[in-house]
Amino acid sequence: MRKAFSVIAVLLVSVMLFASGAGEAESSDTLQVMLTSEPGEGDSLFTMLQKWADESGVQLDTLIIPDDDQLQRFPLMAKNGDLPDLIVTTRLTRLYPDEFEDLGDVIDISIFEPQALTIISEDYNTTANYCLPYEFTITNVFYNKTAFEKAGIEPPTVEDPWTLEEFRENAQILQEKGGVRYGIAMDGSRARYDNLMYLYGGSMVEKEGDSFAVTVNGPGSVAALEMFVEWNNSVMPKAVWAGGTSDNPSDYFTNGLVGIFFSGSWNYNPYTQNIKDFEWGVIPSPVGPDGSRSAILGGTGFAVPKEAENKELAYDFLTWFYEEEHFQEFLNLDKGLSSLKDIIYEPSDEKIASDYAVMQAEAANVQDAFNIDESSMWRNYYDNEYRDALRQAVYGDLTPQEALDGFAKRLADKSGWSLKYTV
Amino acid sequence: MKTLRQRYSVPLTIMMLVVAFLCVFPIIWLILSSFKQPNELFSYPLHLFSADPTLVHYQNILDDGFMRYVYNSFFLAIVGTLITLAISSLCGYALAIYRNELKYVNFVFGIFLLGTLIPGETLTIPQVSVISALGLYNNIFGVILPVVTSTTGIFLFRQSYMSLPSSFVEAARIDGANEAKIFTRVMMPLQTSSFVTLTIFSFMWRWNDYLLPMLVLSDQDNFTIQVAIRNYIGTTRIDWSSVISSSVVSMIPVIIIFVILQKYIIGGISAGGVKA
Amino acid sequence: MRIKHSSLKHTKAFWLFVTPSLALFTIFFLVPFVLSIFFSFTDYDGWKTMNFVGLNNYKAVLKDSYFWDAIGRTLVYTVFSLPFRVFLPLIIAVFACSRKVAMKGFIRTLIYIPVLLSSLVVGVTINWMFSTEYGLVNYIIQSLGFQPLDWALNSKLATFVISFASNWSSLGFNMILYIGGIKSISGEMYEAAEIDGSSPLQTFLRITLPLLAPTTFLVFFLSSINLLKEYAVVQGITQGGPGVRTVFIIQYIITSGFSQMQYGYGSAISFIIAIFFAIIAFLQFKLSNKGGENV
Repeated sequence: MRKAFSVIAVLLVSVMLFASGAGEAESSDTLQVMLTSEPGEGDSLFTMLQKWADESGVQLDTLIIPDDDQLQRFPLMAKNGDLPDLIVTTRLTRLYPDEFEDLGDVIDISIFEPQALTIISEDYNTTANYCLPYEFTITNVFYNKTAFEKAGIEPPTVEDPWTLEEFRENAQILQEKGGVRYGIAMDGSRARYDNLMYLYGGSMVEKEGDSFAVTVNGPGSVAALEMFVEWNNSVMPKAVWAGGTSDNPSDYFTNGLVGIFFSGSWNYNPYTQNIKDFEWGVIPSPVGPDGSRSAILGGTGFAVPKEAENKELAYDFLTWFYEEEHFQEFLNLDKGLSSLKDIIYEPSDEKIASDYAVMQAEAANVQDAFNIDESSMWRNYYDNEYRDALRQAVYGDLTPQEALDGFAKRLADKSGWSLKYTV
Repeated sequence: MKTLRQRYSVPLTIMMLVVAFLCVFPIIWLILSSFKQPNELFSYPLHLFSADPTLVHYQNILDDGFMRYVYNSFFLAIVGTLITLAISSLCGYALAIYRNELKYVNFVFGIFLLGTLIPGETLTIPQVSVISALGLYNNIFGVILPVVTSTTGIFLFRQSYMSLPSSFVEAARIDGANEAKIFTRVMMPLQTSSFVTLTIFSFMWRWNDYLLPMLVLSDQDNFTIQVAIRNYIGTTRIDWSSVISSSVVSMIPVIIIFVILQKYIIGGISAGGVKA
Repeated sequence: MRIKHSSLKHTKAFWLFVTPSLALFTIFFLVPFVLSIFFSFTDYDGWKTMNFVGLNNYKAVLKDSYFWDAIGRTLVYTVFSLPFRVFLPLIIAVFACSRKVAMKGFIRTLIYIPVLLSSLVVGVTINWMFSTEYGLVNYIIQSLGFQPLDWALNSKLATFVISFASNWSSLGFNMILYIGGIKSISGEMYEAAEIDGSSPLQTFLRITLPLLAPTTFLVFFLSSINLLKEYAVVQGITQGGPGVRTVFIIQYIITSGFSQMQYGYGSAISFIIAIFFAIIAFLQFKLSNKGGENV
């Protein structure tokens, strides 16, 4: 026993020495970047970061924190004075604007596509720009061309898009004749459902003087949810939206289980690399009951914390990144929409070019209601609860009216906004 | 008196082997899956063995610097376990030996029992505040020190020291040994099996810790395996390829340690055993 | 009779021995516990805001129907899982100790292995088996010519999968506790029973079961608390769905409180739950004098 202890003690001491030797001091030529997922091979942003680091002789130190975990971990990091120099985020600047530098002082913001700047920065209460867009995305619809051909369905075009009913009917046909298990799938992000809500004229809130009124339980929103529940019961993988699975519907699509997949432009690039077993493409989004259209913009941006150690390096990178030559290079890798006004992605491949045109046409479909909902920042009050309400409706525990009434009441209570439609 | 027959029953043995096999089958399935080609993972019909085995999933996680996380997990588990063994054996000993002599011993024991009733998950945020206040944020000891006090370990040692005759202590005292000497020379050497049992448990707990490491460690170089798995699971898009291979890697050390040390606990935790 | 001098020395020795554990326990457990009670009277957001709000959080919790629903589901889940959790390992332990079974060590080792997995990995493994589209279980069901089961879409099946995962990953541990108990029963009792011609079932019912009562109580006690605290496995498998049918109480605390920066509210629920658990534990000890003596 004694012998064992001394062996263990020696081991322990050596392990500790090794550990302290490995501990590195943050040097002044290391840029620490916080990303939301492990950059895969050929990740467009990471490629650019590396290129910049090589050119300028700077070390890169990445820190991976998934989007949802950021909410808990960012405050802890900030409290401990341990913030990275550059943060890739979708919402931290909305939640904690005081913690970030105004990047308008670093980059000339007139180079940005105004919509990209507004949506990604979410700086609704200030003239400052805490978050600069780089990845600009839009909701769009993918389809399984092979399944369409098998079912004898002609895909819609930008000139002649399908209505919601046509989507529903063809989804049924795809299931019966197209060899797919699900006519339609939507990825689990709420924005996919929100598009349906806007098509029906629904919204989360409305402007009311200087404040807002909660409208999430209005007739449009309820009708949209009713239709959505019906779709889930007939032509969609219901478990995804009822919330009982951690399956990723994007896997369903890439594995050929789905005919029509409502997702977003960020999937285009990965799909060109991963889908080998069938032909696929992009079709325009549905037309709503009164001829309306809807698309939702999103994306990711860069932010620099005030307390970061090597802010200058982060600024250097940003300046370099938004230079025309470098941004063009990034865009060619990313194959997405451009967040800069004067730089666009021009695909040489014919198929990609036509798909790209369909995706770009969606940008005209963004509704004012979406912009107002965004500017209210209602998600600062309740977020998980809205998702839960939708889940309960899809699962069938609550009727759409009940689910939305319940959430509307909670949101109004918490935010102090009035309820437009009584519960 | 009839002699005890040592004849085995074949049906019973087979039945138990089947049960045992069913218990490990999900793990075997995961391991077999980890050698499949990425497109085989999601294609029907499913096959037990890959037609074209690959190490690509393991290569992926190695490229992400997984060995660094393995190293950190080992450090956390080994150091944490050593501290747990040291302080639990001391504490359990004192709670057992002095329980009839000093009035407040059972009260102190009661304080430790409180620890089992409060769900740990709900205390993590104030715990992190304390860790930060002590300057242990983003320090591997910030995830070791908060969890080394183990009610189970204290309980285990208390029970097993209670089972030793108190005459051992009395005799040593008469011989003039002081209390520390009695502990290290007389009592502690009798507790090999408790030490081994707690080693297995503690190593497993520390190896599998994830909530606190996720919140306290903010430097990629300090991440543990579990934090890395969590990052692969992500929040919206699960990266099955890396999740499966990293999960398999994470199982290996605990299983090896268990198989080496198992004879001490697999016979059952007797003599009071683990009670809380 | 001890002389006062030596008693003092023992007091000193006692505190010296206990201090490392007690100090760490106080710093990292009791202090956070007190802090959390303090937070429960504030609107702490984890960072910048902290105003005293009196009993508002507690009032809000008690009025919140989602909270009561979560408690109800947790209790139902616990009550239905408990028999499997307590008796399955007992039956397996009895066979794993039987003289008639060969390769006992090997069998016990295999049964114990799932206990070694982290809760994250348990979630991953079970997901991989029970996934609706790509899971092996549904594939087998389909191969046998039956309809695949909608594990994720039927709240009972989803709860079953969680319970299965939880029992699977704790079976080996409880089995080991029972084996320890069985081993401590004197062999003579079994020999006597065999000479009397008692059948194996009679032996089990008349000797093993009554003499194992303290161990059974221990397993019952530990299991009920662990089931009430079920969180990591749920998070790994259903995340509370379908709808909110598998949102148990710890998950509720975390999603409605901590993950949305409402620490005051989350802490208030935590404190209520801690009291609730303490009452349940106390009742269990009251109901079982045997267990009471053990602790």
